[in-house]
Amino acid sequence: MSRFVWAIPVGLVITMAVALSVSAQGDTDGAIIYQERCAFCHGDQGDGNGPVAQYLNPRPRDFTGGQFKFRTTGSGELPLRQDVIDIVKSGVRGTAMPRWEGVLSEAEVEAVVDYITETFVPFWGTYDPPVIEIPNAPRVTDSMIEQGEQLYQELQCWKCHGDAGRADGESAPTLTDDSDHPIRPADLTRPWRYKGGSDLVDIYTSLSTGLDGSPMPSFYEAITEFVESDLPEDEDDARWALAAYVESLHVGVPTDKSVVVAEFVDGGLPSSVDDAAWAEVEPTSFYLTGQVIAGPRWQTPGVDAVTVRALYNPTDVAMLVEWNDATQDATSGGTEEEQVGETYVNLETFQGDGPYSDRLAVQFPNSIPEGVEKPHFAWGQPGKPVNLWLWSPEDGVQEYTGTGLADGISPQEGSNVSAQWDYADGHYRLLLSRPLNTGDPEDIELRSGEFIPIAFQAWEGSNGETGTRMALSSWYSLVLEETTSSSALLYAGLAAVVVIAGEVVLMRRIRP
Amino acid sequence: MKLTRRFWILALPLVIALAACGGGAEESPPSGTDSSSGEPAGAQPTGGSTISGVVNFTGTAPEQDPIFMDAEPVCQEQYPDGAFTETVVVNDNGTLQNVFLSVTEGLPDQEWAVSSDAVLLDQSGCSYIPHVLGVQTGQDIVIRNSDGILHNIHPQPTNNRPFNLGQPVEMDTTRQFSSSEIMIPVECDVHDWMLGYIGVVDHPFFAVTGSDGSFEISGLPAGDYVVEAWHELYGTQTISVTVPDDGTEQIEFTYEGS
Repeated sequence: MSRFVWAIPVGLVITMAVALSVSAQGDTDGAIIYQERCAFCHGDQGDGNGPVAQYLNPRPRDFTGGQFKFRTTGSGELPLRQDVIDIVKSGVRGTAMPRWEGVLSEAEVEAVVDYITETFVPFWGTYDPPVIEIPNAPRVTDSMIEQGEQLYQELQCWKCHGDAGRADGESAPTLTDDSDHPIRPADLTRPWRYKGGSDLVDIYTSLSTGLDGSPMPSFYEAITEFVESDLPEDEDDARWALAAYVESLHVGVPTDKSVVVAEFVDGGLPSSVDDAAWAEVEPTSFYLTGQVIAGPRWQTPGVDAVTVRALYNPTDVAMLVEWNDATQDATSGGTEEEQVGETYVNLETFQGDGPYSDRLAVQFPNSIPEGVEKPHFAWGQPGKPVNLWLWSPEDGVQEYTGTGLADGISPQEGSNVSAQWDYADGHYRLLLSRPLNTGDPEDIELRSGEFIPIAFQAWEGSNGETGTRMALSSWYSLVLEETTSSSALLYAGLAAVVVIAGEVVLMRRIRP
Repeated sequence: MKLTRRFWILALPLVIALAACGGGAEESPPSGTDSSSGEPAGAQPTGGSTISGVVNFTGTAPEQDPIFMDAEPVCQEQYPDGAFTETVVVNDNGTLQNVFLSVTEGLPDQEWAVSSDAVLLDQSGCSYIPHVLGVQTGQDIVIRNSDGILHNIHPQPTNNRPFNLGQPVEMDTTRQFSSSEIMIPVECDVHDWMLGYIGVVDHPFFAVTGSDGSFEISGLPAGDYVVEAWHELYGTQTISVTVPDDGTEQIEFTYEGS
């Protein structure tokens, strides 16, 4: 079985390509559109058991269950026809459900929605579901956010979503969906993971309607009740306040910024993740995606973004890398063969103890490239090796050399990188330090003023990630900001800011 | 509150539509389910006959699993001797608790008035009280959070619309089920050990065994009936019984452990 796991992502890509590319004939027969576009995942019978369904996480909607996550109606109620049309048009981010707007015409969308609802959905058309009316969104203020934070505490949203919103609440590991598949609460700090949308109105809607079929309940009546008993406030204001607080949790959201700028420090570098100096350093965040280049591939990575800060002095560089991981896995309890192709992992079983240790790698070429050609971003290639700083809570930090996914990575003799880290509230902070020049030919020499390719890889142990089952980024850049002597720093400071700003503007212009 | 007030007005067409569909072998649900607007329609259970009895248990019951509630001190402290699952609860007199009994055959083909008395499903000590609840279609179920910590009441029906409501404080929420269903599991996602069952029937002839294992179904007209017993682990049993006018007929179910 595991030998053919490679076929899954390939098959999915082909399936989606076929589904999206079926020539538009202007056919408004919903049944035909359904067969051509939808049945691969949702199944001929609309039960969410299409041929590729078993490889998807989350699973496709089972229309015959009559439950819909994204609605404007009360908990457990059918959606409005318009709700279904909206979700077909917009797609569901973070899932295999693509955006159909622009692929299907308005008439085709309506035809297929009518086919789906009238053919598969029980109770459809038998009653008018009660709509949760959403008033106009207010302007968010600091006091709203403060009130929202209080509500987050008192409504106990943290039981699942965690104290800091990072999906590490005490009930999180035991959650299952209505098909008894393990399911994770949303990491509220990562807006791109909100399947129902992450703007203020989306958040208000989700917490009011609940996400049917998942453990997320409706808090609509609860907030009314709560306001009546505890707070002399308007219930709508309270819902907006909670939504505003949740929205305020969005941090570390990657932008189009692709360069980590390390500022020069004329003195000691931070030796701890807690060093106050880090607060002064501009963070840069990058997305990671599943490794699907070579088998075993990985479609469902647990870590999908890292946030990086860097500083350097005349001898060393220090990097603070942060990422979210709802479960800390510090030891490996599993073997290489376990969990291959498994998209649903029982978190309760593995929390804290494997199947694998969490890991993070920072990757450089082993020398700054002369031209534009870099090693392959996935562990390099023969003749163009990469230098990995691979860290885990289990083994600490160790340097590796990589020459491609096929060869794997091999440990270097000794290591010039040191690490200091902590883990709290579903969040790792890792400080990696290394001399700028180690003298080791396998190590990159970090020189100021140059664009140094840098990439990241991460493994979430409790998600069954090990080896090439990992999350990875493509190449970004690290720039050690050029500086003159320390005595000139005072005057150079202003100029440096202008230079950095110029570089950022330039990078943005260069990017398509 | 807007939602609750509107609920029945909006659910009414559903009930009527379901009745029109026939709903398979089920009796038509009562149409007078809006307890807040006028007299309930349908017949009152005014017959003079009664089926009473007991659910016995023989053999050995499986040991119940301990429940660890460390995360919820307010619940844990209610179980000085430890909390256990309630899958099989055998009474001191050798009878079985939490058996849902209902008349499944023999009732006249008619609608029955919905009791205007609400039934209570309490979340207390991080468990559902009662563990097994019987209710009529359209009858109000008051879902109470007595713990004052976050519960979400999340029934998983197949014949009825589900719901999933967060109750973060001590509060009541009222809901109804419109179609017969034996049984609807009820879960709390926050506390994965919490499990209860609701039996929904479209007539008033049902009962649940308590701490003495006995039951009584009264108000029946004389006739031939089938009574079904349901237990969450041991499944269903049926007994056919003929009750005379104004008489009481005794029946006994026996479930066997290992």
